[in-house]
Amino acid sequence: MTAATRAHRWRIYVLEARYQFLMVLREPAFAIPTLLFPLIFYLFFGVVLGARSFSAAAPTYMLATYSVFGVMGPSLFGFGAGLAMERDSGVLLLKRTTPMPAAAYLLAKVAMAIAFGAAVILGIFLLGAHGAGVVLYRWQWFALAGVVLAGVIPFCALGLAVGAWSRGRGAVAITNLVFLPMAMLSGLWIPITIFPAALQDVANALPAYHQAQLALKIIDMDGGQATLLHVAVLGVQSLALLAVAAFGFRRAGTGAVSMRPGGTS
Amino acid sequence: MSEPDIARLSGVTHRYGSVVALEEVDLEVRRGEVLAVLGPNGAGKTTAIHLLLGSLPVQTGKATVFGQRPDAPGVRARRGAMLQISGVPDTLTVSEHIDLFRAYYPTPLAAADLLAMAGIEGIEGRRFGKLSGGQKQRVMFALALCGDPHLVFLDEPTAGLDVEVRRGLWEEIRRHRESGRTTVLTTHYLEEADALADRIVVLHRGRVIAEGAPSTIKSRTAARRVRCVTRVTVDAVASVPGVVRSETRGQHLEVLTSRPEALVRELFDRDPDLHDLTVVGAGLEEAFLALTRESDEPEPVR
Amino acid sequence: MKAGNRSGTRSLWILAVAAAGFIAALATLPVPESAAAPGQEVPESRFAVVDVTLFDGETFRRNQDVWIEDGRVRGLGPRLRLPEDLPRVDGRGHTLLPGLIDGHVHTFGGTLNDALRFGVTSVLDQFTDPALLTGARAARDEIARTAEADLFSAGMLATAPGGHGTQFGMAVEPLTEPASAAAWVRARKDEGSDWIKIISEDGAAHGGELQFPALDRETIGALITAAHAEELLAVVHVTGIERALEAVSQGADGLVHVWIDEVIAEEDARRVAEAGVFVVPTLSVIASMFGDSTGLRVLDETDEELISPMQWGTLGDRSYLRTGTEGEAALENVRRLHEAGVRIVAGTDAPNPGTGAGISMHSELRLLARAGLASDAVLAAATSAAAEAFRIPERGRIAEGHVADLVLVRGDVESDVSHTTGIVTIWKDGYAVAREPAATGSAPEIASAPDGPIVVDFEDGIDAGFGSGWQVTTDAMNGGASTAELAVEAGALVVRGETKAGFPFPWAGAIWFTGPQPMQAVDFSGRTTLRFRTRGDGRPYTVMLFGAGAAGTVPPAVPFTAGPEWAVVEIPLESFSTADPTIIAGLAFVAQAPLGSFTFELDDVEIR
Repeated sequence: MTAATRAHRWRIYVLEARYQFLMVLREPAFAIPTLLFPLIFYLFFGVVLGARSFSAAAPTYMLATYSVFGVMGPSLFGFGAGLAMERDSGVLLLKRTTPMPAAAYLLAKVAMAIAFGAAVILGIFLLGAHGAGVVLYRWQWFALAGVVLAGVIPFCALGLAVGAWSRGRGAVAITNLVFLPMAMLSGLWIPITIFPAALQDVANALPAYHQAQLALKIIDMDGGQATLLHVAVLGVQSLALLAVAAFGFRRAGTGAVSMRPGGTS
Repeated sequence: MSEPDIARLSGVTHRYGSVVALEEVDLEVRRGEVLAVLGPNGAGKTTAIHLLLGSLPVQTGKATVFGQRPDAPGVRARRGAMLQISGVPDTLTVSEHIDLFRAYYPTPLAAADLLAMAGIEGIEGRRFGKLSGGQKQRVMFALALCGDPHLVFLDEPTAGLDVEVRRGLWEEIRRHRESGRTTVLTTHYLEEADALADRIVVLHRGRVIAEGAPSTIKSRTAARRVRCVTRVTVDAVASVPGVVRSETRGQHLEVLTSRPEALVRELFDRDPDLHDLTVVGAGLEEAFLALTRESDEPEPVR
Repeated sequence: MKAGNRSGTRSLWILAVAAAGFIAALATLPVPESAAAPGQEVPESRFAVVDVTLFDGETFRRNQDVWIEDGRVRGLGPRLRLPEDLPRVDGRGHTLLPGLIDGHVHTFGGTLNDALRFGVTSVLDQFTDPALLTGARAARDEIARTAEADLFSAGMLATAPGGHGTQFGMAVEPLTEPASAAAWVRARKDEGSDWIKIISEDGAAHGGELQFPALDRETIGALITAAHAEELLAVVHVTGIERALEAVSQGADGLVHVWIDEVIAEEDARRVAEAGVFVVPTLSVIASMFGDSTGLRVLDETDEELISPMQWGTLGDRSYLRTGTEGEAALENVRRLHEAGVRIVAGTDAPNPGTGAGISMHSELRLLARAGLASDAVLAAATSAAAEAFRIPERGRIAEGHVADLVLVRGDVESDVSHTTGIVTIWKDGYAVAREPAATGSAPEIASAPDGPIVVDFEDGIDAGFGSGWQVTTDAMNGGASTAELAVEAGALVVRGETKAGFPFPWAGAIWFTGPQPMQAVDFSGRTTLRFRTRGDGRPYTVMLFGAGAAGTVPPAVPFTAGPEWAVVEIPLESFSTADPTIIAGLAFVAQAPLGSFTFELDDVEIR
């Protein structure tokens, strides 16, 4: 591969990501919930309510969990709903006839999720620091940002699986059905320790729970399970979800279903 | 560009479950030509296009583009396509879409040229979602040309457009034809194929039932339907030259023929009392039917 | 292509700027005020220990901040909102414990200082001079800098005439009948006793080695009833299971030893639990009796400079040492009691032989862990359980409003209770404790002895011979009241005197200062035996060995008997249970218990 073709391929990745980002940024139905909801939730529950307690623990705990929540949104919706809708509209099919590498398309969505996630967590961090007096060691701020952003991997894998197995508007509904209960049951809004034991067991099956525990580990507010356990569960779940997604695409194609006889329109 | 044929389907059969979309299709796209694949809905046109685009796997037979597999990277770089899709994302502007698609190709056309070729100068700053149906199709056309392709597929480019807008788009496609690019377009409008194509392949129920210059195809599908009350039997008219099909409908004898004058003369000869005679032009469907009859029944024309 | 490149390049620039902005914004986020590393310039009275694992009295809690203000805990929790000017101690990698509470001690001399120096900020004394009680109450109620642990005490104990507790020489008012119980308890309350300690001991559990007259069942019952009537707790000294269970059935609130004669049946353990009776097992003293070396190991691990002569002396004293499996029985009893849900309170019975004030609390914790208590249960026994069992207010927990008695130790105590010896800082009433033995004074250098046997034959009077001579020694040096006088008659040393109540281990007799000046130690290395001739009134006597800097301790001792005829006594030096018995500042030949007058003679005293 010559330098020119390398530069050319690199440019595809950059532009695909750029326009993916611009595209969803200009889509109020996507941008407002994913950018503002975690910030508003954190402002209300973490800063306004949490700051009334003597301890700064509640705002600090929620700083970590709402950040995970904030990264989960763009990852799930970008892949789950976004991918299903782009497949339905045929854009994905059209792009697959061009020299665009499939990876550019997928990585663009991951990059978009990271960009949105970074914006959300920066907002949450600033709210927590200046609104609720959250104080962390510098390495903790950076590590927290890093670990939380690494959550795009399992969440994008989950979104990809949802997107592969659902279509259009249905994908939005399914994504919401995954998103909100998982956030709740994983302790992203309130610590799961207040839940009944059975629900706490459910949390152990959810990637968001393990992601949140890893984030809480940085500020030493996790439940005390092993780091390796969380990383292993997330790794296995991500691979399993990617396999589920791959199977879904193989079954449905990238949009070719619309070419069945009688399906043309 | 030394390939004798730019793209080819050889002996291709394609099934969706039990439904046969293409059956033993041979299709050749020659360099520099505008080939129209003509056929009614469900004839297999889009399936044929997607086999040549590599977005459907070949089940039986062979598909080649520029002598390679249709999904080979080198093929993608020299090919453009306009598909029957609802569009590209609404929230990006025309020039942003063009910028992105140009980036996919190693030697893209200049953005200004593309705008001119598609006739969309002046709307490049508008978001795709704000455009009219015709403007959207022109943008999709521009996207198909971004990579300065040697081969362009236009899958029903004017479907869903009103007559005026459709004719406007024809202008762009016709101008594009002059650029010497090989173009495959699918349509179910004979008129569109006639207006744009150098050569027409007629697909019906997954088979190629006719192939030739537009004038040839047009004459072969210029059937008329003759209807009257007469005592002449169905069998008796079947042997009249030009008759494609004959049948009885209630009191009426209905005959489909490419030579209505000869038929009417023959009918009056045999039954001077015939009445209630009407001669009407047959629809495209019937024209295809005529062609089908020819292709389905290999025995000598009756 | 060039024109198209622009949007790609611009995207990269935007990306780079956004990433840099993100990192820069993260770098502006607030970080904690710098906290002092533990141990350096320890803040006092008003400060916070931040990001520490703390044991709050019940459970371990990680990453807590504790805010101390005016000698009390003002607040605690993860990430407290602390004033910016509040001095901070960085608690990472450390465990913060409530000040330890030793549930069974005896107070005299420097024991309160010894206790505090080892993180025992309160002691629950089970028999001491009632004269100490008034001062103790005043001291413990004041939030102020102090060098001594808070003292809570039973004061005088309740026992039968001649019973256990009378042998130590301290004034005891014995009981003879149930009818006197109420007045007796009232007198204790007036003296300032915090609870009532009752002896239920006839020596039977010790295999007949000891025999005591014991209080009868009715008197014990009456004492318990009287204590409760005065709203005082009644705790009972037992060493045998039969008397233990009887005390439980009589309504005792606690037992201040675990019994060693028998392993308790599970249903009996449940009975103890149901009765709500707590047990202070005093495994330290019991284990050391039966040869367990946990206490000595803790001694080994401890910086020598922190150990007072008295701690050296009592820990090294093996005079209670005997053989037997009762130590294991004691551990098993604790295990069963804990499993049955009986509240266990850590207590050492220091400074009895084999234990040291304060320091033995750390071996007690290890012994409780060995008995099967988890780390949190072990530490609760030494903190909150002790405070609650004996109704000690504002202590035993790190909780808002509690006295800031705190111990900061290195490492994770939850994973291993033996980390409690890694003390970094002790705060008492919020003040940092200076960890220096109160009774230090630079001991004179150790002199060397000429080679060969050293003999003193008294042929030329009392001052003749090696060293700086013979003098009277009595427990007066430890606050006792015994007396003695010396004379040389017919070339032998005659010692006459009387042992009297006053010090728990009373003594009186003669001491031979072997150094060039009194209490200067001499290095007798190479010598192995103390040999002397003696005769006397037939009662038991003791040779006590004083080592280097040994003031204020109960020195290691070996018994001998002076019969009517002259006899030679040979004692291997290694029989003296001390670190190095060849370092000798003095050898005391003394009478101890029983109290009373005595006469004996010594001659040809030889170290060879």
